[in-house]
This record gives sequence, C-alpha cells and structure tokens, in this order.
Amino acid sequence: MNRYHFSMRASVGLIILLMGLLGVLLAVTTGNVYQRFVLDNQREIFEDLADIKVNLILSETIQSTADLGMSIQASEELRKVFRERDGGKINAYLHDQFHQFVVSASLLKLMQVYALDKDFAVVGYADEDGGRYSPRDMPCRGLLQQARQREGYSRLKILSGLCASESGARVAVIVPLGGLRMEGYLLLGVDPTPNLVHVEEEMGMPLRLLFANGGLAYVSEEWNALPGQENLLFWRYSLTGMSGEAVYDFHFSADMAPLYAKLDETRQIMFLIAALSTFLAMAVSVVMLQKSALDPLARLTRHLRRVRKDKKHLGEKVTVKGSQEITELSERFNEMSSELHVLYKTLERMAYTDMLTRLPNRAVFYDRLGQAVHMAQRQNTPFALMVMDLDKFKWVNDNLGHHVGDKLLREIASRLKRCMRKSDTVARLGGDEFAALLPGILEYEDSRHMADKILEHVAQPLYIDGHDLSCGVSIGIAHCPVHGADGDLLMQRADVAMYHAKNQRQGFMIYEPRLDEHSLNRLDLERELETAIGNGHLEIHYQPKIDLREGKVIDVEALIRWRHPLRGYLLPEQFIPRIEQSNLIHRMTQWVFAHALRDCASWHARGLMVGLSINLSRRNLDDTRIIDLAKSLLSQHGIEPAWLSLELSESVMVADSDRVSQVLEGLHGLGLRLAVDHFGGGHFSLASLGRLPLEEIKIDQAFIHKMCHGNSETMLVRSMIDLAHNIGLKAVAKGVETPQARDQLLEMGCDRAQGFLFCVPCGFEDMTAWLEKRLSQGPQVMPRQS
Amino acid sequence: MLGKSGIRPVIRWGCLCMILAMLIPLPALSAHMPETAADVAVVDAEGLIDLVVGQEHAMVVDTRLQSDYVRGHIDGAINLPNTETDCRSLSRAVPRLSKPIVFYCNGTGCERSAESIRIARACGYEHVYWFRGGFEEWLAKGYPYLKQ
Repeated sequence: MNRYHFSMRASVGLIILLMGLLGVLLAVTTGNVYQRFVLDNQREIFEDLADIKVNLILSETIQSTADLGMSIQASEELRKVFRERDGGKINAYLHDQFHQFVVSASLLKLMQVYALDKDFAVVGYADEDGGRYSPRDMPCRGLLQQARQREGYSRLKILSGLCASESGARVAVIVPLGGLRMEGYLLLGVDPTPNLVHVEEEMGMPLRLLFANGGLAYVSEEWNALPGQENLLFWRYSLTGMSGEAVYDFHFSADMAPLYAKLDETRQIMFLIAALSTFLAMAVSVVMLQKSALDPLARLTRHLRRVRKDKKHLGEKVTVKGSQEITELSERFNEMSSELHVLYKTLERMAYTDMLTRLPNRAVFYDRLGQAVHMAQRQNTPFALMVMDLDKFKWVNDNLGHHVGDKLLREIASRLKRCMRKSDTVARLGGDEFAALLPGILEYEDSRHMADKILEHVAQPLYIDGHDLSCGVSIGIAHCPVHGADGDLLMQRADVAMYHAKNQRQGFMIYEPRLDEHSLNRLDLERELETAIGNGHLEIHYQPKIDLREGKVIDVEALIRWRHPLRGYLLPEQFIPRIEQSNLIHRMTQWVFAHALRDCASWHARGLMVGLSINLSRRNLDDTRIIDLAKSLLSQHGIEPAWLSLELSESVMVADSDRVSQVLEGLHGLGLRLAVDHFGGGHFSLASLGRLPLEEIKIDQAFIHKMCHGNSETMLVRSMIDLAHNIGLKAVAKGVETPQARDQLLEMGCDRAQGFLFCVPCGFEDMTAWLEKRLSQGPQVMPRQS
Repeated sequence: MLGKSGIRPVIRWGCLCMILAMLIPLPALSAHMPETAADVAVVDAEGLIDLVVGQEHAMVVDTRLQSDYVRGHIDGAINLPNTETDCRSLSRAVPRLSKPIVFYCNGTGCERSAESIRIARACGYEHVYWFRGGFEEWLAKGYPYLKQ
C-alpha cells in the first residue's frame, strides 16, 4: 500500500484550499437558497404592494363614487322631485347623471343609481342603458341590509362596499339624500374594473384580471407577449368583497431576468472574493507557517544532520524563534541534546576506556595500532609494540582476593603510564595483560631502554591493603616494520616474545623469528585441544599404586594422554600448563571424570574392586561446580565416594584462599580422599599439611630417581616419609623403577609406591587385564578415608 | 458713530422689547377664544345635526376660506370666511338676529370660527353656536360632506 507523505506546507495549503472550495460550495448553495429566498421575498413584496395599490385604487373609486353621490343628492331639483316622489322626474334626473364629467370622462363607470326613501324603498332608478328597475340587479344587497340596521346619527354616514355580481363586480355606495335633514338615500353602483386595471401601470408589470366566477375581466397585451417562462415570476392577489367573498383574482407576472443577472453578478463577485480570500489565507498561512514552524524546524533538522555527521555537535544549543510549540520543542530538543551529549560521552568513555585502570581498552589500542601501521606504510614511520603480562598476578588474585588484584592492576597501570611518553599509548588488553604502542622507535636499543624502565618501575614494592607485594612483568617487543607491517602479525609476534620472556624469566624479549616454532605450537594448542575433546583424541592411561608391604593394589591413577594426529602422544606436562590458563581446563576435567569413573564402574562391575585416583588442576578448585560434578558422576555410576581419590599438585596446596579451602572441604565432605602430588618439588606451606583433610602425600619422582644414586636425596626422602607419618598421612613414592629403590623405600617405612617397576601406564583394556591378573592373587579392600 | 459702551444698552432694550412683543398677543388671543361662555353654546357634530334637524331656520356657517370650502364642507353650510365677516355680510346671510347660527372652521386649532362668533355676537345675534371640533371632527366621525 502506497503511503503519501505531504510536507507541512503542502498539508496546510491543501487544507486551506479545501476550506476555500468548501467556502465556494457554501457560497453556491447559499446563493441558490438565497435566490429562492429572494424570489419568495419578492413575491411577498409584490403581494403587499399589490394589496396597497389595489386597495388604494378601490378606496379612490369609492371616494369618487361617494363624491358623485353627494354631488347628485345636493341638487335642489332632485330634492324637490324626491319630496314630491315624482318617479318619472326622479328617474329622468338620475339618468342625466350618467353624463356628468366623471362618468363621461370614464373616470368612473357608473352602472346604476337608485333613489331610496328612508326605509330604503326604491323611489327612483336609472342605469347606463336606460333600463328599468329590477330588484335582481340591485348591487350589494348586503350593504342595503347593513344600512337598514343603522340607527341614530350613523344613518347619516356614507356606506360602501365591494361585492361580486352576476356581471362581474360592483362597488356600491349609499349616501344620504337631503343633507343633514336627511330625506332618503342614493345608492350608486359602479363597475370598478376600469379603475382597478390601472394597477398594471402602478405595479409596472403585466396583469391578467379575473372575476371570481372565472370570467376574464382584463388582460394586458404584454401578458400575451411574455417570453419563455424560465425567468418569469408568476403570482396572484385575491381581492375580497365586503362579505369576505372573492371578487377579483389579480394575476401578475414579473420578469426576473434582471434579478437573476444581478444574482449571477453577485455570485461571481462572491466567487472572486472567496478565491481571493482563499489565496490570501493560503499565502498568509504559508508565510506564517514558514516563519513560525518550518524555518525553525528546518534549522533543527539541519542541526540533527550536523550531529549525525559529526557527534561533536551533540550538546550544542540551537536557538530558534517561532510559535510557542516550536520554541518549547527546541528547548526540549536542546535539553535532550545535552543529555545525549553526556550519555554519548559516557558511552564513548565506556566503549574506549578500561573502566578499572582508566587506560584505553583493547578496541582503542587495536584502532591506534591500525593507524600506526597505516602511518608506517605511508610515511615510513617506525614504531615499537610491547605486550606485557604481569607475573604472579594470578597468585595475588587467587590468594589475596580480587579487590587486591584490582588495586594492583590500577597501580601497575599508573606506573606504566608514568613510563610512557606523551605520544605513546598504553592500554589494558584484558586480565593482567597490557600493551603499549611506542611511535618513532626504530632501534632495538631504544625499546630495550623503555622495557628496562618499565621493569624497573613495575618492580618497585607495592603496599596494598596491608600486603607487601612485588610484581614482575614480562614484556614482548615487536618492531614495525621490521617484524611485520600488519597489526595482527605484530601483536602475535610481540605475544610470542612475551611468552618466551615469561618462560625464560628474562623480563623482556624482542621478537626473533626463531621463536615462531614454539609459539605456533602454543598458540594452536587451545584450538587443537578443543577439537581433540570432540574427536576423541584424548585418552586415559592408568597406573596402579601398590601397597609396599602387602603388595596389594590400592588404586589406579588416571593419567591423561593426547593422541595428537601430527605430534603423537603428548604428555600432560606438555599441554596442561597452557590449558590451565584457559577455560578448557573445566571441560577437560569433566571429560576425565566422566571417562575414568565410567572405567572404574566397569571394573567394579567385573569384580575388580580397585580405587581410582584423578589429578585436579589448581583452576578446578576455583569453582564449587567440581563438587557437584564429582557427586553426580559417582551417583550416576554407583561408585562409593571412598573409591575415589583426588590428587592435588603441591602448588594447589600453596593456595591459601577461602575458595580453595571451601572446595576441598566440600570434596572431603563427599567422602573422597585427598592426596598431595609431586610433594617436595616446589615450595609448600607445611602448615597446610596439618590443616587440609589429606590422606597421603606423593613424593616427587625426581627424589626417588636421585635417591638411588646419592645419599642426600635418600635423607630427604626419609625425612618426607617421616613427616607424613608424623602428621598421620601415608607416604607414596612415585617413579619406582627398580627393585632396589622399592626395597630401600620399604626399609624407610614408605607405605605405597607407583612406578614402572609395578606397571607402566596403559590403556583401559591393558589395565583391566593387568588388574584381573593381579587381583586374582588376592582380594582387594576398599581404601579407607583417613 | 456709537462706541462699544453705546451698543450694549441698545441690544438690551431691543431684546426686552422683543420679549414683550411676544407676550402681549397671548392674552388678546385667549380673549377671542372662549372655551365656554354663557352667551356662546359649544356643540359637537351630533349637537350640530340635532340643531339643524330640530330648528328649521338654523344656519351653519363655514368660516374657512373659500378654497377650503370647495374641497369639502358640511352639507347645507354657507361659506362666510371670517375675513369677510361683519354685521353687513352676516345680515345678508342671516337677516334675523334671533335665528340660530352654528359657526365652524377647520378644528380646535382654528381661530376663524371664534372670530366670526365674536363679530356675530357684536352684531347682536342672539343664538350663536360654536362647533368647536370643526371640519376635522366631522370627517373623523365619518359624516358625509359635500364638495363643490
């Protein structure tokens, strides 16, 4: 569905145009209504006018008739013959009156004159044609009746009336005869038609006059010559007689063409005015809209575009003048812009800053590295890249808590910043890893100098939350363009150098191509191991632990092997340290637990009741999930917890954190047995031995191997065995490869031994066969937790 | 030539004289127009009719100018404008002093009939009647009149 979008200007214009059209429509409708109204009004006016004119003419006619009557009766001759009641003379006299001026001049059309006595009996009569009196012809008998009913002075008054007659209409007037000393009456009958037709001239329009009986009294010549009836207005007026009866019907017609023309002209003027008003309203509205809304909105829009193009304009105030709504909008706009500016700055800071150290973060660093590489390519400007990783930071974090670790990081960051020049960039890449970009450094000597400076500053003692700390840093350095002209490559090479520096405890190392082989192994390790877990390249080999005195099998230790498709079997020490630094250690532990416990359950199912020993990494103890894992898998395979022993490296035991203690207590609480592996090979807190819930200590094989050749190691082994016994632990000798060593250990009181002498580590099938053979020689007992 | 001081008394006296001139005719006029009097009977239209019908010799005198008389007058009235009225003219129209005479003019605002009555009384006519409402009352009451 198409959607049309109009601009505000177009919308307002359209609305006004519609209003204009509506106005024109209204004008047309009103014009038509007005036309009808005008016609009705005109008709009413004509009727009123005709009423006035006709009645005026009728009154004049009556007055003229009365005057004529009064004039006739005033004659002494008439009065004399009337007194004598000489009918012939009366008639003769009356007949002479038809020759009076008003009659002969057609001012009055006198039809009959009657002489009446006081009782209204006819005494004399005359008409126009000299006819004889006939009562039937007497006009307006109702008037005579009315006259008869009068009494007193009113009998002197003149009576008149209009009435219909057989021959049309008559005006009858009764006047007293004989003056104030009244002797009789004269009754005059007049045909008013000739007088009434003068109304045509008075009205100025054609007339057609009809009697009440429908007879045609008069029709004007113009009436017959009227044009088409389109523009004619016909109307009629009825004249009633003294008794209320219809006497005349006046039909008029008026030509409305001039009126219509006037109306059309008025309508056109109205159209013109409406169109002009609409146009003016549109123009004024558009101008006002432009000033009050469109211009300010355009300004706001321009500013928005500017902001979109460059965020630095965010927060700039835009001042606009317009309508109240627009002004308020701009104020709200400015407020929002200011808030967005603050928010944007915060987000920018969060996006590009490491919130802990306030140093630029990884994203910023890679961006600047890219720019530096670009500049190096275009302008041949060299730079040095340093990747730094703190030594012992993990120990601090694990043992002194994260809050100490965080403070340490902040302090180191601060020291690093102090070492840098203004043009340098130092950033925190994550964890305890930092990186620095040093533009303009070409010579190795310069970067060495900078690295020395960093090492010196970082190595300064620290005092955090009551802890005296010393923190080292390993620095890997790569130079652009000598070591690469690509950011990722440079980072990788600096990283390689850094790991070599860390492994060799050299402080810093500048990248050399010879380091690549090892580096690539290390870098690919994680990805390959992840693939190995999925593809079944990991295997578990088992090596039994033998009770030296009784020769019984105590348990078998699960040892992980990596059957690498290219590198062959890899021993744990070749990949575990690296894996420990990644999250893969948890997945690998899970894998080992699942497979080893499955194998153990399988042995138990075959009646090979032997314990299982699994090595734990230091990282496993950071997470209480290891407790749930052991519990659920033991339950799943139906193995009593006492069959499972967990071996912890000596470095694990050094960790003196609450979390580690909590996890060890949890595991011990499950009924598992705990042992210390590689005892004597590292630094170890003897206090931990008594505090932790241990069962045995496993003396590192390096001592056992040397014991065979030198007395000092023999003394050390003896001391360690004594130490174990003194705190109630069993002593286990690892790496027993010769009968002499076994005998010597037995002589020193060592409880248990493990080594090639008894059995080389082998897979599940071989170990199953070995166990079947070995256990058939005597029953096994479940190890007891000490 | 008069100075300023000479003009003021002249104006003052002039104004005084004008005011007096305006006031003097009023009592004179009122003396000629008695509303009622023991010697003059005022009648209305019906009284006039009764007088004429009741007394055979009663005369009705129209005291207006002839031009008014021609346009319309009471049937039987003679025209004797007050300007032409004196004992002589009266005696020609009404020879006997005992004959009742009714005078009228246009109406209550008209002085002519009053003037004629004063003259008739002075001439010694004994029965003088004044149709105070005059021709206006006659027309208003719808009584017939005669045009000449």
